[in-house]
Amino acid sequence: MKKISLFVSMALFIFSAVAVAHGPVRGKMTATVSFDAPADKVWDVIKNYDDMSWHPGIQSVEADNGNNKGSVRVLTLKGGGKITEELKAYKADKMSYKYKITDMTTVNTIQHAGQDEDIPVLPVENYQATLTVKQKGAMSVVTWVATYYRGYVNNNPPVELNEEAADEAVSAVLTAGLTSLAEKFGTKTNVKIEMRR
Amino acid sequence: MFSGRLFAEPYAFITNQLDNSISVIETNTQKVIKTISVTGKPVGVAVNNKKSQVYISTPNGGGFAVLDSKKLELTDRVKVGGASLGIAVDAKGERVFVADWYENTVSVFDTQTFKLIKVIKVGKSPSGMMVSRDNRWLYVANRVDDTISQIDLKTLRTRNTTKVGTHPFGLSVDKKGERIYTANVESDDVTVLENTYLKRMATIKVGARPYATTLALNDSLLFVTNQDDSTVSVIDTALLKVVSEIEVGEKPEGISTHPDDQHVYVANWFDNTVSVIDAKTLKVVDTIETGEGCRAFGLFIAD
Repeated sequence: MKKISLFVSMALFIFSAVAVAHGPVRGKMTATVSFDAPADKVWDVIKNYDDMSWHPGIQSVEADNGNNKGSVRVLTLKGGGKITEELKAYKADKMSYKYKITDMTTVNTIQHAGQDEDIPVLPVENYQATLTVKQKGAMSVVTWVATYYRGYVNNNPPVELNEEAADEAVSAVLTAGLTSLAEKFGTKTNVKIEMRR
Repeated sequence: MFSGRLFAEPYAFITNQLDNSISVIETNTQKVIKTISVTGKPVGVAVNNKKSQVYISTPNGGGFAVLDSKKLELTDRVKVGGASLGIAVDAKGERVFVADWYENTVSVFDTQTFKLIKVIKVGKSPSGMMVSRDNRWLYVANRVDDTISQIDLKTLRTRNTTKVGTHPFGLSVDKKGERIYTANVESDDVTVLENTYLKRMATIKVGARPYATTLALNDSLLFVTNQDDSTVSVIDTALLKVVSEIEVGEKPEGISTHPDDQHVYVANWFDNTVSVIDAKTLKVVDTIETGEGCRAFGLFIAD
């Protein structure tokens, strides 16, 4: 028993040593859901940058310039907190838009390495995402791809701001949104998450 | 009639960070003709035309990989401590320089024996590097220090260090070795330095989170990848002004100019593609599929 736990902790140590040596690396999370519906109908639900009522975690959205590039929206989250995002690209013909987080409220401040570290409502850094609908036969395939770094940019992140915390939080946002969207079209289905870093 | 140069097979070596592989593009046909497996999350590229070698930095693999640029095979792996990122080769093809993101050093290796010649202390988180064509200087972008180091290649000592914009990452040196251009990720601009005193000549605003740069058309144009805008800014180097912004794929990162001095290749990390820009028309003329997370940071096209 002792031997095993020693082996496991050694393995963990080696793993984390590698992760540390690597430092913050941009990750790419792809969330996909497919369900029986015409893609243009699905696009109708999600196409307005100032409307995220299809997402169960979001209370309200306000945008300053509709679906025009550069439009800034503020999401008020049901769990509390706000996220500010800028529209980077909008392609109605491709049923796709891309946005970037520019500001977030802080949920907590911790002490780490002798410094105060703010924990943002989504513990990530330089977050950008693309939401796209495509028609595949009778099915709609909705893909939500997020790219981001962990919240802590230096070496040795606190657990609140490491890769696991970032992945868990982003995965929860994407999964909740796409699950709920599929349900709107009468399908209970699993969202597929693929993570690459 | 005789001015046109003929190239047998200029290959572009594209690192696919998320796939642990290198896509080899034959630029005559704009097709990927081979994919070479290289573990360790390959990022940086440096082509050694004199020795027909290509060096690939592998931040997760503790060092760099050596490819034969004719046979298109992995021939060697060289250990370096820490996390290797930026990589460059001298003008004679005799020494390869490897920047270490955490050790704040540049390690110098002999390209014949792959023995370590020297470890040079530089600024914090060194990233992009380039050697002047006269083989006199190595320039290093120290990302976290917001500086550029100029290293004397005779003595392998730092001669000068100067401030640029915030978080310089990629850099380019012109053919005459007179100007250095840095892409500054956090200040969204390009710093232009002259080589004698590293005096700042200009700061030019570009797009969001610029990553790397390359020169084309006899150094008259500088191309800059803007990661968060999915564009390439084009700077007229005489006017020191942005004259065009070209849409490419998402998260454009590594950028390099073909030996014809006219075609510019851009690795789009998010899209897993390479965009080819014609510097004369400033249009994308080709888009080539690569592996996942293509980065190609450095001079990645062989002669």
